[in-house]
Amino acid sequence: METSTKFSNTELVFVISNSVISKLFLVYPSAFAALGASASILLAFLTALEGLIFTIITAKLYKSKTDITQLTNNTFVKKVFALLLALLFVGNQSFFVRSVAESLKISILPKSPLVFITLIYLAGVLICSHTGLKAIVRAHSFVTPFTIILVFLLLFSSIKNFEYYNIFPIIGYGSKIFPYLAILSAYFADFIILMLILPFASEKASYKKIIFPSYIISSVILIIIMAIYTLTIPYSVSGTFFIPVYRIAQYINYHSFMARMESLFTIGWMLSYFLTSATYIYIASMLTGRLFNSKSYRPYMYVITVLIFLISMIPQNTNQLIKWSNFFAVPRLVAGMAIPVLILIIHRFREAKKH
Amino acid sequence: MKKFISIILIFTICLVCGGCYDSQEISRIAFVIAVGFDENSYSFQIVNPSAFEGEGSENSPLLTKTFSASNVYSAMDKLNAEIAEKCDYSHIKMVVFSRKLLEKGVEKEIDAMLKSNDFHPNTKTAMCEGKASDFLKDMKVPLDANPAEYYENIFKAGFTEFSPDTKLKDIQKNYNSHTSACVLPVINGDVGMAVAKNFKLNGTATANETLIYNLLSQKGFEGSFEVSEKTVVYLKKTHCKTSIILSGKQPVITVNILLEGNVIWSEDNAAKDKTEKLAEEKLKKEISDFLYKCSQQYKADILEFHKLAKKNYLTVDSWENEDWQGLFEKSSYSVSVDVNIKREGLNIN
Repeated sequence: METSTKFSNTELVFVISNSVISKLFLVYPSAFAALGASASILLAFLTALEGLIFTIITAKLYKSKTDITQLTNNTFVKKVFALLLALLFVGNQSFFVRSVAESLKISILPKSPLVFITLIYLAGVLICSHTGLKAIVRAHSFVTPFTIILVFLLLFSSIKNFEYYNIFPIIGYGSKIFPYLAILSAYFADFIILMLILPFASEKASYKKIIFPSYIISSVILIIIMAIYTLTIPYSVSGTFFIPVYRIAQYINYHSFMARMESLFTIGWMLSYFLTSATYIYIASMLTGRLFNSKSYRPYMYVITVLIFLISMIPQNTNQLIKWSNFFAVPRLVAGMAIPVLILIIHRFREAKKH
Repeated sequence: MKKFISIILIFTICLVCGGCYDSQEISRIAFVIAVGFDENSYSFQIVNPSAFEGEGSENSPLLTKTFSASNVYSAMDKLNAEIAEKCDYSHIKMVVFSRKLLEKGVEKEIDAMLKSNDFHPNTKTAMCEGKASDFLKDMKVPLDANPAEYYENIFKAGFTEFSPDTKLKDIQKNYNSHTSACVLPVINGDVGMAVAKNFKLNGTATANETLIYNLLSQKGFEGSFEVSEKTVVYLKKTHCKTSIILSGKQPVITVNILLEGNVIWSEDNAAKDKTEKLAEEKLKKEISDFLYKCSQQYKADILEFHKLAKKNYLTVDSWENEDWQGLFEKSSYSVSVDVNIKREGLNIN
């Protein structure tokens, strides 16, 4: 493992932010709008508030720079948690990769078979993961700012299409959305990555210094995307698009000099998906390697990539994919947020007892 | 070994970059720039590149092909089978529905277009009198003009305030909505617009009514207006505020419009105040008549007053349970118009 590699706070902020926001460029805003309807912006703020609570709790509890899977004393628990996270990452990436492939097929590669698109994408991701964490993190340093700039460009160029009436009825489905609030906070479940790559951070880095900027970027981008989507598309149709941001980008038209902007945005979004997948495959391989006390994680990368490919082919259609992806928010919430908080609480309690 | 693997990888990537299944040779593509929808037949207007080859070519730059089919995609397949080139629909500039088809309803066609990535949301839509296939076949484009650019230009030049500008995205925004209504420009015959409700033609509006529609819609307005037989003014909308009071079972809709403008021509050199007053009175009457026509004759909320009404409801359920259509048909209107003549051309009165 690349223990000698050290990353700065900023580099890690970009990795975490990109892992969180990349799903906003797929079907996520549509699922969000289906729940929030006209109150989707309000719901985005509530989700951001939940994320803030999670960020504050973990920042208070996570003082060391040890990998979260190593914070338990029991070797069996360590292995079970590592296995759980590896499974979570494989499952999460399977649906993510399938969504990316479906998006590419719908938007730019209609004639290419889905299997072909998925294979080419995963082959690229595998090569990227193979180059190691250093290359992945360094690539994030220019891809994430580029993606963020594109989000702001999307915001400013969509202003012409905004209709403020779309936020009415002001509270959407009202109290009906409350049971789903906890599940929506799974948006921030990707913060778990930081708890796994923190040992690679530089001496000066700390969890607190990385997680707060990451939280701010992720929340601001979530609110901006949901604001653009809600203000551009009325709630009666906003839950029906497979790639909502692509549709918004298609709406942009400033006579003939600023049209067909979707091609520019697609480049940025593709880079964002690509690095997110590479990060996840790398970390899933690292966790699997740890399970088998292996020094090299690279052989596991091939197995994990094949596994992701096979699982990604299971959903028979996009409806099933959306349904399963939405359902997967529950395991993401449990394994990516609840269990880490529980482990951190137990660890803090033990530390306090020692002193 | 590393170098060898790198070379193989580079070659593999180069092959993949070719695009395989989705590869497109520019010379083998036929660009479709307009689609006409008739009852059970579909027409495609294709750019004919051979018309640009050499000077004095007598070939038409546009080629129109018509196919009988049950849906637009079957017609597309037939088109692909007939011509040697691969058809590209990403540059479609206009979609035209025939009056007969619009009377029957175009929900199936709209749904097919909105779900597909072939039709761009910024594609303009229109209705034509007679057959859409005939309209496309009769379309004359100067040989030196780029056909796609020509389409954009004729829309800009001919479609002024006497015609609405409706794109597929405007229809899409009202799709699935229980208040769906839209307008389409009429591109041949008498200038004006077609009013569609639930994707069916509900009536047509004259050029003057279309001008009032454009004045009241959220888009900007700038155009000439005949105040009387002796005076024509050029008006620009500076402010338009619409509010709604939902008291009891009859919505009261208030429209306040501020316009400023110039006198283009006045035979009797009427005083500025008199011209302003005349313009205000005429506009007020025409606006009121049009608004009542929308709710009582067309029974279609084309000016989207439902968006204002939604403000009065807290939840989606309470709004969707309301019979907005019924309320809209009973609406009463209060209109106020303020015209401010700024200048009178080169003359000083």
